[in-house]
Amino acid sequence: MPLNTTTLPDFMTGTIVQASDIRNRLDTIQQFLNGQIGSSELSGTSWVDHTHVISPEFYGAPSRRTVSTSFHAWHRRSIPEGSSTDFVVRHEDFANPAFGSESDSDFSAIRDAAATIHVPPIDTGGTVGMAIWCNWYTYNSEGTLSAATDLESNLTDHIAAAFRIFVDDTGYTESTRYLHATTSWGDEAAERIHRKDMSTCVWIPSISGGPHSVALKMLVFKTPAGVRDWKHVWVGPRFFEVEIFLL
Amino acid sequence: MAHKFYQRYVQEGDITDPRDWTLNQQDLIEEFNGRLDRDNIDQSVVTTTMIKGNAFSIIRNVDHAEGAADVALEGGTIAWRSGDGTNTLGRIEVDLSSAALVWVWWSGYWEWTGGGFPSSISSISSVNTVRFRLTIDGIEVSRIHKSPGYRLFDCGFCVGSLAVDPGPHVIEVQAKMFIQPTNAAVQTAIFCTVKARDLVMWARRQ
Amino acid sequence: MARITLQDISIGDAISSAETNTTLQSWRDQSINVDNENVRSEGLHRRNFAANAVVTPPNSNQYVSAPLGSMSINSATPVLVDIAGTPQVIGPFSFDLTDTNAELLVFGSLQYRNGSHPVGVTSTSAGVWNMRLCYSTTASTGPWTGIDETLRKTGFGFVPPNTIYRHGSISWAHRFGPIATTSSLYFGIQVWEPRAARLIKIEYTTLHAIYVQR
Repeated sequence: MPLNTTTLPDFMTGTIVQASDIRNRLDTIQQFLNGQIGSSELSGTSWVDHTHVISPEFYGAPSRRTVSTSFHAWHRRSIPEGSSTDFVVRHEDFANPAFGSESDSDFSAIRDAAATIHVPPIDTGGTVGMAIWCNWYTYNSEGTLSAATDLESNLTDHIAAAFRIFVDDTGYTESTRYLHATTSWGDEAAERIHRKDMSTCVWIPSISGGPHSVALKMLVFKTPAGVRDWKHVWVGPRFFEVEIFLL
Repeated sequence: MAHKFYQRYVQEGDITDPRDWTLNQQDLIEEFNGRLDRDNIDQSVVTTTMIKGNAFSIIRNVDHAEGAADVALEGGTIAWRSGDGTNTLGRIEVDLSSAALVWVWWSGYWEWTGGGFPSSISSISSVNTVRFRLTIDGIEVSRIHKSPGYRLFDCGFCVGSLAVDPGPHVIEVQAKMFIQPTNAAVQTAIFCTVKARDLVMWARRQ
Repeated sequence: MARITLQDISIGDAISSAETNTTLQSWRDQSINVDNENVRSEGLHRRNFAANAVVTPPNSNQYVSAPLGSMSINSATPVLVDIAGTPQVIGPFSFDLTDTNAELLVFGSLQYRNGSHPVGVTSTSAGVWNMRLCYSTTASTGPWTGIDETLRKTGFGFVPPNTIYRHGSISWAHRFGPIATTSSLYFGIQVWEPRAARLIKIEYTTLHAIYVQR
């Protein structure tokens, strides 16, 4: 609401000043101050700096997150310290289904690569965008897939596990990463060849206000009966970052 | 200072007192002259052009194409290191005047060479690995855990973040090699050369 | 700076409209220049800011992904990744050269897979797959310029045939510098294998860019 000669006129010389004349002008200024300083009243040159905005709040373990004016972010990671073994392991013995028959409900979250987030109420449009980045280390062990197998012809026959980003139990298939089975080639030291650093990222264009679960999930596939091409799937160091963009 | 209401109400029949005007104006003017906040300003009115540069974000990066800036990591050194004495894997120094959440991403590719490696499957036991970590002020925030030398060319990506206080900060990429040589001469002749790489930092201040 | 000046009136002064009007004029003059000296520290809330005042997230043309399908690439020269008939291309982006604070961050990711070495290859003839981001300042169909800093390679040395699956993933985060043109900026992913034609499968790709204004 602009303050101009129409909305805030001068007192006219020679006229009797009524109490209402004084009140009206004070009321106009008061109304202006109480929420009606609009875009046309703000200087158009750059003047807002970080001191004018509330400082971000950082929350630590066990649920690391950052709450700020223009964004909220959630951070998860697991880094091995020395000889510690904070690995996640899943076993083919309990796996189901076989490759090609899986659905989102077959996946399960990986510890330290998952977060329950809360998106604040969105005034305009109802949704905001979200970015998810993650990288992790994974491998499978003690399988019996022969190195003499015709791997060239069997690209889909020996996928030990799948990884995928999920938001509220909906998997984003474009983020899928496969772990192929280790073969018997080489000795124990050579198994390092088969271990994999993986990464994925995904853009979620709209996520609504309220609580949501975001996670990197994994699924160990079932091997055919009598075949143990892989036994254990391990996930080692993992890093999971989520950000919603509010401004 | 939230909503503001003038205190002295002027009504018909009152004796004219200039303080009714002056003090009321003073209240309102004091609000305007430096105490305006979210309750005074309308919603959705502050636009991009009204915001100073770096008020919310500070972005820095250092990236290299393959070539003169390659980092040749020699197999004889097994400690964490940030470069080869000539070139660095990735380093950003930034001085922040406010607390911030610092996002960092690093990706790159590397090639193993030297020492006749790898020449045949008879040297299977000589599988060597390289790992990378992304640090902020010396604190590891992400890593590429292990890449074996039998992947003659390999690449990786890592992402991390850390909340930091105001002041100077250093983002640095470091590498560490595990060499299983048959002898020391072979060890020092093996190189893992890091080539094209990209380090990006986004400090989110508000 | 927009500060109101109060024209004081004290008891004993002669009443005149001049003093009150001076104050009112100050209100009218300064109320259209609200700036940093009027707003208190930590005074602004998210609600005061216009949408996307700080970051412009990608619109529907500025992010792409491939949840289904794959592309088998067998080329010694860069090939633009196109999966199931959908080129993995984003844009157009407009780069405001007048805004020196604007930044464009590009993020992408993909999975690569194939079998093993064919019989007969050696460490010097084995496949080395090259992957990188690229951009065009002309159209979504190119011509494309590779971003050399984003080149990523993967390939085995001497590994016998049918011994190990070659698979993995790569992601990128790249700060794209300002360029001469201000619009029609597109990004894509290129893959090729310069040593010897050797098939690789590219799938599960994502690509998006975030325009950071402040």
